[in-house]
Amino acid sequence: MEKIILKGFGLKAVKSPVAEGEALVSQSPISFLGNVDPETGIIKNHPLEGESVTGRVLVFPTGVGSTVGTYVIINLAEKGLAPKAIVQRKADTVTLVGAVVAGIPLVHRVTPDPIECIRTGDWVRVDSHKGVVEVERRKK
Amino acid sequence: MYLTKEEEKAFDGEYGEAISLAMRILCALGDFFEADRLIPIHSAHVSGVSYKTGGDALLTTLKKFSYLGAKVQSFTTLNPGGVDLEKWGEMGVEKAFFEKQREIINLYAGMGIFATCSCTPYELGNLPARGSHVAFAESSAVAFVNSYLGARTNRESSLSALASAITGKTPRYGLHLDENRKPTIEVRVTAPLESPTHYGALGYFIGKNFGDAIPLIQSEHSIPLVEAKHLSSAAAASGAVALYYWGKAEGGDKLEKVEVDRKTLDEVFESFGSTSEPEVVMVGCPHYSIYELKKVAELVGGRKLKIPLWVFTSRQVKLLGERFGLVQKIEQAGGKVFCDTCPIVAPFKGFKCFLTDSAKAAHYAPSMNNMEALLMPTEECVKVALEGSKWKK
Repeated sequence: MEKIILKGFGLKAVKSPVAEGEALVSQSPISFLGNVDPETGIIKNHPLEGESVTGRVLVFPTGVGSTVGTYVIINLAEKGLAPKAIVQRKADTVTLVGAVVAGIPLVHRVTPDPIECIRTGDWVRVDSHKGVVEVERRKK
Repeated sequence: MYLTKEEEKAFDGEYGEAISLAMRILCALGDFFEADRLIPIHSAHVSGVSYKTGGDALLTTLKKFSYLGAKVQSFTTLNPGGVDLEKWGEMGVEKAFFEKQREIINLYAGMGIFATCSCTPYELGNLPARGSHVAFAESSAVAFVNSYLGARTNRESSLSALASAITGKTPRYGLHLDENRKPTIEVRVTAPLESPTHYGALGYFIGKNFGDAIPLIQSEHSIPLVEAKHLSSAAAASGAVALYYWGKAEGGDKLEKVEVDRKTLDEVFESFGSTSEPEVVMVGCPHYSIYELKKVAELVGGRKLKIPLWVFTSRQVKLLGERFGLVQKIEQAGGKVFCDTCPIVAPFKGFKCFLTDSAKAAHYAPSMNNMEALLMPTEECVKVALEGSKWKK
């Protein structure tokens, strides 16, 4: 099975730094406020409309929009609906602080570009302390 | 990140658990973004106020900080909540929501935060000077103070801004540093900018297409305060623009150039709804200044409205507007002037479609309120409210 390793910078302030799950890859930025329903974890008003972030490794370029997105992430985590881990091309403060408080492993600035080389459905293992993302291609 | 002895004590809880918790958030942030140290801030502006957007996580977090004895160490203002604290009944908001909302605002006020409940703190005395370091959440205010005032803030999360208010400090990285404030793209505007809403449409286009870029915007038009508010709010809503330059900036040579012509802006206006009839006209996103309130009162001009006109502003501007008779003019026509909240963060029910002069409000309407939005300049908005005319694109 094809395996790709991406290296970059990880969030160290999480107690459980390693998480794995199925990738959900967005080509477009995400505004947690507005794009993710805090009651269900379902994405709306976005190209990934209808997909769920719950239990997946969410891969997206960066966070945009409202600074209240942090509380959407914390709300999701408290309901058990948060992503397992987050991989961003470039982290933003709104997403990062949500990850810090909710204890979600997060890495960014990895090479090669995560948006280019991870596909939705791939199995992804994130190590937030080492800043490493391991990707196993799904079977075709 | 380097911490002084005092900061280490704060981190370890010698000055209380609330400061320690705030320090842990700031240090996680600073370490991640490779800040070298913390710097003192002159003021802060906190978002995360509406119970609708923050939910129970917001209430729980505030209760925790409050229980731990949190008090702010800097002058700090507050974003809009979900209801007008005096006229909440007129907004069709349920009492249970109002009570949670009041509790959230009381928790903030208990920490020493000025409960201004407005997204335009710079119009209410929180006006950072050029070069000063601050911690602002509220994306529109971030873009405004960085770009228009030349102050320095990162695009803070609602919670990191609160942590900065409590500690009086922010990690030194990102937009606090000269090297990160250089323009990254040049936007040549050949489109006529005929109203503040056109500046909003321009900002919307830039945010949507260039995300968190730092645009250097070239236009023959000037950029007065109200226009800057609209540009800032739209660019921060559709993207994550936290800083832009108007006309001149160091390091502006050899940038990739894009052109925004009349057609581009027309497309932004058309990208919002066009099928429904507006049932209500909502203006005041970002919160209206006294100038805008005056303009609407004059446009109404003593006539009666056929479609409800809701104007959103800060309590301070409303009081001033009452002193000048502007609020009365709008209310006598059948309109309403609401404070403490805005078209985005209030839990509206019963409307399917609204007309607004704000690209930011139009952007959030479908996802936040399940409403279709139509975008037009203020004059057109008031005209539709007065004439109740069939909506025409």
